[in-house]
Amino acid sequence: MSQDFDSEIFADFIIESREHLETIEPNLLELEKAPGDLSLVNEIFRPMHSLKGASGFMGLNRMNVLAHRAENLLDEMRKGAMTVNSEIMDVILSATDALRQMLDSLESSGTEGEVPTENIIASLDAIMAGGGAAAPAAAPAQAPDQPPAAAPRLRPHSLRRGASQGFH
Amino acid sequence: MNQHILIVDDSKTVRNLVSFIMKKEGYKVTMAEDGLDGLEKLFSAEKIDLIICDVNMPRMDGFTFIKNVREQDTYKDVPIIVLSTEGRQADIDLGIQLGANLYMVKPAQPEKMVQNVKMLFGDN
Repeated sequence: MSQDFDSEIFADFIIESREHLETIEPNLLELEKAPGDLSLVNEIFRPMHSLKGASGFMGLNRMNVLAHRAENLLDEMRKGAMTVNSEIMDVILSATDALRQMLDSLESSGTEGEVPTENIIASLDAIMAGGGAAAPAAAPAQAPDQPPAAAPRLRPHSLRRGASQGFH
Repeated sequence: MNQHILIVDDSKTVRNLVSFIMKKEGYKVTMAEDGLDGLEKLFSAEKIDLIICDVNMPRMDGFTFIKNVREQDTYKDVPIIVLSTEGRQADIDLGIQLGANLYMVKPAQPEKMVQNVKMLFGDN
């Protein structure tokens, strides 16, 4: 469907999708503090579900696949089959980061770009399969002689900064 | 006068796209953000000739919306197409049982949507 819709629809899609991501992230951080709160899970599930639907309609397959996989995991949490933990937090935040980067790329170049999603999808699949998260989804390369990073696991960036300012 | 379609979906992107497709076919379009808004539009806008609605929406979901529409004398026979990402057989069965004429799973092909709308209008 991506061939002949107008630029206004495209621009609205980007705005709406960013709003969805902005809804997901703070609720996810709240959920980490209250893992049993199903209303928070719903507040995360719904925008991810909408993002999946809208990207599919726009013919944006990479966004659609990533949002769909994340939605599947959130659906398991919504049904009570899984409870949020640090691995799930990390991978959902990595997914939202990647989705945001794809939106940035769409805005600047009109395509989803080359944002790597394979590791994130592998992590999502591993958690769904009950095997825990795969290697950190977007861990930066680190030279062997450098000291380990302060945080043992990768935390997607701006959000974590926001979290430490906002909740501590 | 152009036939009038009500599009009920909480995603602005989906509303915009379906609206774009239907307007290109010459239909008049009204949009609603959820089931409750859809009911309000049914009774405040010009008479609606066909409804395309989502299922998973805040405030009032699509199934509750359809049930409410079918309880209104004016709209008990209005054609309804469900357009949802929920493709499970149980959802499809429930939608049809509540009174939807067709159930399409997102993302639907624009040509197929137009074809189904025309079929329900008896235009092809």
